Amino acid sequence: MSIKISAGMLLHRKARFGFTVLGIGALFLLSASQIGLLVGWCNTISAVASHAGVDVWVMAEQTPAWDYGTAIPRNRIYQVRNIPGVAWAEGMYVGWSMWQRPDGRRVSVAVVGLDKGSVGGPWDMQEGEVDDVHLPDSVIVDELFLGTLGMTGVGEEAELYGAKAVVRGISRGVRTFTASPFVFTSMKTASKYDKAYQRDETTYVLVRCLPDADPGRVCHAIRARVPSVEALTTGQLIRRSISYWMVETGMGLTVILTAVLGALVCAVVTSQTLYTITQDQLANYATLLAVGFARRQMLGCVIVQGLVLSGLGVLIGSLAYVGLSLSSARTPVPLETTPAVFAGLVFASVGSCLLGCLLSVKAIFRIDPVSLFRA
Amino acid sequence: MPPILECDSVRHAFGRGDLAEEVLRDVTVAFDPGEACLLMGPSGSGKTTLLSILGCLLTPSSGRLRLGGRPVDHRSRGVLGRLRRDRIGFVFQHAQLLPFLTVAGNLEVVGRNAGLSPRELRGRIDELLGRLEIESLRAKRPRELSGGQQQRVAIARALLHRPPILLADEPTAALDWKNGRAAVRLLVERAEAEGSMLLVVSHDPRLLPMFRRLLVIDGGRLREETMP
Repeated sequence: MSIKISAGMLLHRKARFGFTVLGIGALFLLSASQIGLLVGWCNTISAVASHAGVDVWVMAEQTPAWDYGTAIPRNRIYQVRNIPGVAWAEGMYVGWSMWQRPDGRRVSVAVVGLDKGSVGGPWDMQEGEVDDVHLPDSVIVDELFLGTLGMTGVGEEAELYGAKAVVRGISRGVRTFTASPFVFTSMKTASKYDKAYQRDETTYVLVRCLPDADPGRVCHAIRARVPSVEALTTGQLIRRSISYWMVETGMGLTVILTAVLGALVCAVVTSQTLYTITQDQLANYATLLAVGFARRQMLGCVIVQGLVLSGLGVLIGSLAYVGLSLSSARTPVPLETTPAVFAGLVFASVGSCLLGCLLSVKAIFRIDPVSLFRA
Repeated sequence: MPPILECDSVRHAFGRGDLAEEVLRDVTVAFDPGEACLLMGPSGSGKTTLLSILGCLLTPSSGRLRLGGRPVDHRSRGVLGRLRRDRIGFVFQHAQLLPFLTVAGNLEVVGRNAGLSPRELRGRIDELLGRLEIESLRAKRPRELSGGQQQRVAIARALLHRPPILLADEPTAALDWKNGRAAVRLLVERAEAEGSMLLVVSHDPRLLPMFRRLLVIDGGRLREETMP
């Protein structure tokens, strides 16, 4: 019965109802896309590290994020291999270079040099193999950045600091957070592309532990026995990188703030609309009270109205978000989410809308049915 | 058989302390089942306040109210709500129909709230709409009805759960004389048919011939008048 009355009150002014639902939908879309952007960024930041499939990363001390590694002596690889619990260790170079397109324009790129095992290389290969990086002057780039790099496909050539680079493979979905596309190559070739990189250096030592070894303990042992390095598990490196980009640079906070602001405005819009509806319907609520309806039934009406407005708004916003997310899937800035994050967002949005009902609840408690006799 | 509704030494004042304005003074009155009464009095005499107290909408400053011989517990909003839902039917000056529901919808929500089964409710709605000659209006919304038609629907709403007490506040005030008289006649007839006690508040002396009992309130004091 409350549903029938609630629906009647809501739909009594259809235009107001429609605009409110659309407003809530738009605000949900704003919040969802901000959170989606954040999740997408976090996934992008952690992508290479999480796809590498290693347990421990050894690097220079005070490395702020995966992208900003500093060179360490290559012999650290051999030292790490002697640590108890280590099954396998190889190097990885991460540095910067300048890609010269065939049309002469230059593009800043992140060069990732892979060791013999090609661990930490690109995934979802569309053309070529990851091991092709070991061919002379060979590079693998992602299809997302072919246009940026002035390439159209495999076999094309460019220059990195005057050294020849031939595209031998194309990956899909290997995004970069720094706006400089990844160029995967071998460690040997990488030394030609980055003048600051010496061949007896590496940026990371990638470690796979023995099956019964605890990566945390292995990290501890590496720190104790290998000088001037830091060892982190893959999870720790990912968290540090995300923390650097999202917290220390302030980028994540800005996005979170916008998302929270969206949810707050959502609450305000719902609150204002419900309050206006309640004010419009005060005489009807008074009639219902006079003819024996309980105040809790009227509170039920307001809550049902809040749920309908927020539910429909969130549904519309979600559908729009799915569309936006799908269309962003093949762009460098994807909107991504997880079921838990999305459920949390829906819960927060509906919850904030219900909080917006409080003003109306207050109005309901002030209704005086005697006013009907004074009309 | 105890009176269906009675108040004993009821006083009511608005405001507190020196600013308190007493609007009802020592009102004692009892109503029997099936009785139709007209309550008259000048503006500000306390008619509405008395009606509100009798309808369990307002708690008197002092005095007692009894329904069917039982004292009304004014401390509990829930009890008062249930009394209004189960035992009292209201007809207001303006019909106060829910504008977003049809005529049938207006009756349904009240009937369901009063605990009528769907079958019982359908039967009563059909019967009342038929007797009040508004059956053809059942799918219409209040804005599509004339004032007289709206008041008929309001009467149907008040009678739907067959309450033993019917209270009407100026039911003719928003209508022309012809429609007003028809509405009150309908109320009296239906109240008699249902055995309900009816109290109608009105300024209009032309209604007097329809009632058997006349109460007059002036300056907050109630007195019984002999019918002319």
